[in-house]
Amino acid sequence: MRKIKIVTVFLLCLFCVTLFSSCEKPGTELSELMIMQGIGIDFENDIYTVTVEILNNEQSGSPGGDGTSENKTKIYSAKGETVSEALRKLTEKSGNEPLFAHNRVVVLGEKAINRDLRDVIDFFERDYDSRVSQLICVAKNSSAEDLIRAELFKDGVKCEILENMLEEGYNNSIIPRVRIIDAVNHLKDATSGLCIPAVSVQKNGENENYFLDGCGVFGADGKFLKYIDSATAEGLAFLNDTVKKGYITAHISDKGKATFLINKGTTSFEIIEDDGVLKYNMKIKLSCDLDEIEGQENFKNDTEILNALQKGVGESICKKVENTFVSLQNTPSSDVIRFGKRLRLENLDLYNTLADDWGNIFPEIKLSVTVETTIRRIGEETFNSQKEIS
Amino acid sequence: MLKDRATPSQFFSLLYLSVLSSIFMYIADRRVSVAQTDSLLRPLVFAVISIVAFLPMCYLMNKYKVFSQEQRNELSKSKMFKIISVLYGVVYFFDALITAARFDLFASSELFPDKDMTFFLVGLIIVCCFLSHLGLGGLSRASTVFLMIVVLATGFAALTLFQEVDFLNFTPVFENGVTDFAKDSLYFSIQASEIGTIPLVVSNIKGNVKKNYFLWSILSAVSFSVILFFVVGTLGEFADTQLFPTYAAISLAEFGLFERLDALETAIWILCIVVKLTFFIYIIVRTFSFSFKKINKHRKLFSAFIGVAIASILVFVSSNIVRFSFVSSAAVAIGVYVVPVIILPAILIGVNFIYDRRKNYEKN
Repeated sequence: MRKIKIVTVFLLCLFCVTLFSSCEKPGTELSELMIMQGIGIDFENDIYTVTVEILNNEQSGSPGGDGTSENKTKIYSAKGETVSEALRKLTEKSGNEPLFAHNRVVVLGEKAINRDLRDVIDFFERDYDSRVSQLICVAKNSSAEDLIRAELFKDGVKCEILENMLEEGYNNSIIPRVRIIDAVNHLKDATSGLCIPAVSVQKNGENENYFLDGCGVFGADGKFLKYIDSATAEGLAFLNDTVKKGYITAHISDKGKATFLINKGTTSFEIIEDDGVLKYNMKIKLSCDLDEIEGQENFKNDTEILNALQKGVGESICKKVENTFVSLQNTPSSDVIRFGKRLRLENLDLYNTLADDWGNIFPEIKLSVTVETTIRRIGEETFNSQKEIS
Repeated sequence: MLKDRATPSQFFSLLYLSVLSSIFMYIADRRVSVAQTDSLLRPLVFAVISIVAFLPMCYLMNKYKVFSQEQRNELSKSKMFKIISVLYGVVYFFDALITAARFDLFASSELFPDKDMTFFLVGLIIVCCFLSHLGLGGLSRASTVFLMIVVLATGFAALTLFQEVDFLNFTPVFENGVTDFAKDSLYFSIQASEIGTIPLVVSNIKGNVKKNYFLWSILSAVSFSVILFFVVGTLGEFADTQLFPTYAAISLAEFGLFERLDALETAIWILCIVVKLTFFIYIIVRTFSFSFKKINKHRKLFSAFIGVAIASILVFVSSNIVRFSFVSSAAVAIGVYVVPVIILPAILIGVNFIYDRRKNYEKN
């Protein structure tokens, strides 16, 4: 027993040393660290400009940086031939060591997205300190620096707001979630493109606001192709089978409108080859709760309302999905919804014959959408159609 | 004697932690892709190969009571026996070196990339040398305790990772053909060179070794498959871009407020590495003491010497990635598996066969 105790004590000591020795930077005081919250990347004349938002530790007393000591964060910019070089040069300005492990979001400026995306994000894949789960977004119609330096309000972490917007957008099935790992996975796949959420800055009196402004579409070669607007981007969650929560407003038989909260959604595909044309039969199963209804008095009974509601939701989703799909197929097209990968998993032989020409095949794919809607709850109010029936 | 005795379940707990550390510290290289659904099936081949490779060892243990006290006394003057024992020691010295070098790369890439890890590693080796004196019994019993910690922590991380699994991250089975799958599976199967130690320590294990070995093979294969399911399912092709794919997958795990489960997992993995290194040092000292009686008398001094040798070579290897590439090359990995698991048992069968015939001849 004594020996077990000795062995256990030794190993648990080692366990504690590793677990409780602060995080990434042993031997460096917190005040000596530049704790990154967001990194913006711009590219012009063969030079990268990085703009970072870092936590403003009151004890740090870092010279320079825009912002008073009351601000929660400071913003620095630096230039370099590579992203890494530019980021390391930040130390010359702040005198502190960068800590990338807490970075929330990577913003790609308008000009940076015109480069091969694989080159731009290589640093975040390779760096020891960088986490692969950080989110990526595109600064639409502006530089990443302008986005990060936006005058939102006096005190707050801008990139935290940005991160929350991107997370909530994903949770509400409005935009796709793109982390470093997702970008790499899409771009390693021979047929897949990539859709990155775009964020714009909107003037609101003296202050500015961020808002989600659709998505930037990239080709399988990592090159930027086009933007799609917010309404078009909403169908991506269904096409990617990433519906989590969210809401959907449906017109019910021209008699009224209703909004539903989505509980759960799943998408499955059946791929058929017919006379050299690929056809994807998409089946969406949706469970949702009624949140608001207008014009229920136009229906005779509950059954009629429920049937109309189910039909309305189905039609609304079909329209949304088809709109997104057509938009992705339009030139310049990009398979951001990974139909090529689905074919690879389902029919490898067919995929191998088509993969090289996928750029021409994807725009010709036919999509058929069916929606199976289950209305799970109708809220706290009953349908007030009883008097109509009587 | 109690110091050096273990039950089969205790011993196989040790062996399980040891092979588990191989998958935790599995290094992605260009030879074998991790990011394929085939990865999930490779452990099945691992189980089959491990069971087949165990058969000659079983024969050795049953028929000749190899490396038992009686045989050691009997063959103590045989040069061949001494050479074989030393060869076992040399092979496991290399194995310990590979393990330490791998951990060095892991520590200096993932744990503290901008710090010199030499002192940490030397400290770790000193700890392992000290622990090796506690004998097989102490280490095996401690392993059963650690096993529970490791399984609970890994299971918890796996549960939190489940929501990150994406069906599109998988690839078609046998996408590159069955031949490639077979080759990759063979390469994967050589992770468990520790099975070659069983004849060396079997005399100190009291119980049904064969039944427990079979269970160990199946459980190890299932564990590998489950771990690789999460690696492939969460990382997809990204796994092939990462030096340590298992760590990259774990770094995605989070649970409520706890966003850095990788720190917890790393601590757990260090436990496995300590167990593995300690076991190898114990085996090296044991095999050399079979051949040299003086070592038997000065085991502590010799294990310190082994520790110094491992640390010195490690410091030399650590400073240059090209040297590390040599240490972790396929040829070295194959050698470290094939020699103690296939070649040395085959030679031992031959030597014992000849020795038995000679003995019978002398009797007659």
